[in-house]
Amino acid sequence: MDFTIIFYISGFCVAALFTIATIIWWKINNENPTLYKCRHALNYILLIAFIFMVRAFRIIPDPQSIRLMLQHLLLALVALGFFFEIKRIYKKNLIKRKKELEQVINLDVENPLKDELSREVIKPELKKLEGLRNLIQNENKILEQKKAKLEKWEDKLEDLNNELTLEKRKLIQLNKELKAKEKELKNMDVSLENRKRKVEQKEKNYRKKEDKLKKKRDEIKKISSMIEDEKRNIEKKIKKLKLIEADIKDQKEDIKREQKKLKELKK
Amino acid sequence: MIEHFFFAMNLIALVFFLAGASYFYKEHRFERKDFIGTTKLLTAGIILLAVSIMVDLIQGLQNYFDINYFFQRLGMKAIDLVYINELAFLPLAGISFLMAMILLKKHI
Repeated sequence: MDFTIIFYISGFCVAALFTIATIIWWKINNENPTLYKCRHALNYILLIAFIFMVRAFRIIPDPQSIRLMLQHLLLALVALGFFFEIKRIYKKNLIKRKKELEQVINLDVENPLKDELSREVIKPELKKLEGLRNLIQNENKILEQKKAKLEKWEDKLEDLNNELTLEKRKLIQLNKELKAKEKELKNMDVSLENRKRKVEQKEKNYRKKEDKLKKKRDEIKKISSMIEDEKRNIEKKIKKLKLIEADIKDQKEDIKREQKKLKELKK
Repeated sequence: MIEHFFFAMNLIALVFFLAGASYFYKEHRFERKDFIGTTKLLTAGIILLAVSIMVDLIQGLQNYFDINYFFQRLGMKAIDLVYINELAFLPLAGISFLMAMILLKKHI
């Protein structure tokens, strides 16, 4: 479908929509003319339906652009009319509202609205406020009781605080003492380490000496075993010597006997 | 010459419609509380009308500047604005006005 045909249809649809809206508004306005305060402004704006109806007939040739001119001129006029009308209505309503408010506030001016306001709005508000006041008073009492309790607690807290400060001082003193002892311990530790080093040194020396002693003992053992061997040898030799001595004695006795025998023989 | 006239008329219409829409929306505090929906719909309709006039104005700028270059960069033509206007803004404005009237009628 060609776009121009769609445009024609769309133009008619828009015109129809605005026309229906205008008809509905016309009916509403006839039924209840005071329903909408800015009804004149609405009348102006709904005049646009007429412009759209003019616009919808663009199917008719317009060589001198009279339709277009009329359309634009009407649109601008409607906009101007709508603006000035709505501004006028708005200002009027604003002034009216201001006056009403001033009358409500002003005590000298008699206004039935004032009585209604005090009856319908202020009185219930006052009742609510009364209730609120009672509530606040009750809350105040409760708060005072709590305050008294709090004061007691505060006294207790103060005592506790004093005790705590004393404890704190003691703790500080203890801490100082502890630090001093720690220093002493450190010094002792240093001296112990020195001693330990010395002991270790001595131990090393002792071990060296022990080793030397062991070696000497072994040597002594060897020597003593050698001495014992020698002793045994000597004992053996002594025994042999004794045997030889006994032999010699026997031989001497034999010699003596033989000498005696010889002497006897000589005789 | 006639293009200048159209452009001027459109400019006047746009400015005064937008200003009027602002006053119209502010006016709702003097109306009944039930009419807030109607007022909102009517304001929306007036703004949509103003937008459609603005689209016409942008098209009218063709007489003064070469806006086609800008539209080509966007991947469209200046004439495409007419389609948007005819098929989107104006019907939406009409629907908005109609809905507002139907809503107002319900309150009676």
